[in-house]
Amino acid sequence: MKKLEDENKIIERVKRGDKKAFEPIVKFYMKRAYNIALGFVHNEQDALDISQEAFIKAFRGLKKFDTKKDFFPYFYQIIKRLCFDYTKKKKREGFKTNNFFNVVYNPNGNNRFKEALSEAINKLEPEQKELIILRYIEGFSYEELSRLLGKPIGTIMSSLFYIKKKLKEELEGGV
Amino acid sequence: MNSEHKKIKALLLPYLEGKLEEEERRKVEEHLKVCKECREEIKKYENIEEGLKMMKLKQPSEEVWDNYWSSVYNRLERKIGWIFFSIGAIILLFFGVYQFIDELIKDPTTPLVVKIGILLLSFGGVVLFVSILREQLFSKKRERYEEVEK
Ligand SMILES: [Zn+2]
Repeated sequence: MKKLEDENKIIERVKRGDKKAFEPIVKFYMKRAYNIALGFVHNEQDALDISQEAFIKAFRGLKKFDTKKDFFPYFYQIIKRLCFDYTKKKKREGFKTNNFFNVVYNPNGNNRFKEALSEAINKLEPEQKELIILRYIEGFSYEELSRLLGKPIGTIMSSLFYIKKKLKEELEGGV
Repeated sequence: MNSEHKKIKALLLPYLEGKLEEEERRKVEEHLKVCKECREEIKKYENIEEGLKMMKLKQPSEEVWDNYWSSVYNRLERKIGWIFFSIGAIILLFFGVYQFIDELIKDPTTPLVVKIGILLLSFGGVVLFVSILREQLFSKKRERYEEVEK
């Protein structure tokens, strides 16, 4: 898992109330935060907004943070919770999903494959999208995913296999 | 052959990721030589894998990223700013309203009905204010509790 250099030292400083010291942390994790939020909320503007809110919450909670631990797993819990609150609220209002996945791979020289695949990904369940984003956009290994999500490696692996099978079936039905 | 085919088909994904034991891996390779269907299946999975690897998510403009930190920083500051601003505003508001009411009530030309109306109005206002304040404080406390709970 890519981690910021000297992260623990920086967090020590933030814990002492140095707001400006938080800058490298935010800059290092902002894109990851946005991608993760996008996977849950399906809306660019709201994903951006939630990611910022998560940093503010994380900042306020840092006082009680154990500096021996990594920042990201802590942050991940915060942002995921904000996303769940958001989707719960949105579901009551009628939640519409827009496709934010952009597959550029084009094996047969026509655009059908990439369009069909990005549509198929968009149809996945939220936890499946979460896994896809963490694995393929953020490049987490099975082991890192297992630690982050608190599930055995075997479960993570078979979930990903299941997702790919589902994608394949979706493609066979559609193309 | 057919049951072998089914067994191998289920192993294709782990095979592609190099997660099979030597013996199973060899079995899959042997089968692939003779089974066109499984070869096509593997091709499909490879395409999906490649597609996923090259997938991108819609991103905001570079400008948004350039301003991201200052926007977070401002929001952090703003929270503190808001607290001071609200306290100040409340003090001024109360003082202004108090003076206004005081003047009207002391003025002998103000009709009695208006005086009673003003008293009821300001009493209601105070009750409302306290109730909103209590609700705010309560929800803050609960929020903090939820954070600890995590
Ligand atoms: Zn076969």
